Amino acid sequence: MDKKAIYDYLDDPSQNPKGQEERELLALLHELEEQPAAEPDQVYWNNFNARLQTRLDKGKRRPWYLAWPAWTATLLSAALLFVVFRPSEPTAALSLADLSNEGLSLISEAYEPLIEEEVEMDLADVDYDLLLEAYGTDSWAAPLDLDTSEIDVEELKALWNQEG
Amino acid sequence: MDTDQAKKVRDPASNLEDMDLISRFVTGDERAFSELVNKYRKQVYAVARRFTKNHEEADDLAQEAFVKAYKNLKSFRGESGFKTWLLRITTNLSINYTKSGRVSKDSGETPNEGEARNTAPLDGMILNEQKGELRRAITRLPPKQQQTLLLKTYQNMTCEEVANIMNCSPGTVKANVFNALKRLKQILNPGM
Repeated sequence: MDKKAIYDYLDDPSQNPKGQEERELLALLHELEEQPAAEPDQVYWNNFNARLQTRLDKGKRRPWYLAWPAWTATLLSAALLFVVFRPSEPTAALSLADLSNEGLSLISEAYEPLIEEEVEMDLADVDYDLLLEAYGTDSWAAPLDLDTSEIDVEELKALWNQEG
Repeated sequence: MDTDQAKKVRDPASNLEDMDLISRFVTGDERAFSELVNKYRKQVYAVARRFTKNHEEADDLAQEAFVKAYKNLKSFRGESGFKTWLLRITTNLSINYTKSGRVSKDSGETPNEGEARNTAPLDGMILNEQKGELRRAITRLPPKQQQTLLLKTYQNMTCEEVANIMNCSPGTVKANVFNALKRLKQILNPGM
């Protein structure tokens, strides 16, 4: 089959091929060309533009100047959610071993008065009623209710010396 | 073949008219787009119909093609004619549609009802049967050959016009048409 003859015809339809096979192929081509396109009736075309307009209106987006409040609200909500729910980052724990001597002396100066004050505090001034109120009577010490006359002083001394 | 429409395709005056309508549309004149729709809606529908063979699907594709054109017309650079650009959109939509497998079977509608009415009933039936056979044979062609043949035989398009729409070279169009015709002949006459 002469391919070139068909190509020539496609370039210039006045160049009819001479071979039988080529003519048969072109007959098929003509048959396809002659198939009329099915044409809808006038009612269809009368409504075509109106239906298209409806479709266009449905697909139209709001202009940016109308859409920006929605975008802003969305972005703000997203930022707020991020701030609230962002994963906490582990912070480096302050270690006294890492501090310089100057740093340690500064801390010492700041805390020394407080420590001294605590040490000097008279334990006798502790209000045990407040402690009982705070910790309740479930304390192991509360139900002991010791009678000092029953305490063997010598035995206690010996135990004290032994255990320290 | 509709010679008036075919003439319009290659008519530079028609292209100038299109460019004028596009300029008006770009500057906000929506009526200009309606005029473009009026001018090309039948051709868009006809191309879609060639691919789908069903009125509802062709209608949906034609409408979608114009929606796409409307959305993208402001970025139309005029490298090809508006008609070529529009038919390329239609062809691509039709190809994607057929590729998706959603295309329904031939509705059985007779495209040439007028012709059939003018012939004797038996002749009309034979004619319709032959055309139905040809349509079914086309669906058995490889997609590229099928698409090229359907466009080439639409309104006697030139190979250059088909190549522009298919985004390939005229040589590829000729090769596809030749191979499609050869394959069609084998399908229709399996013994030969």
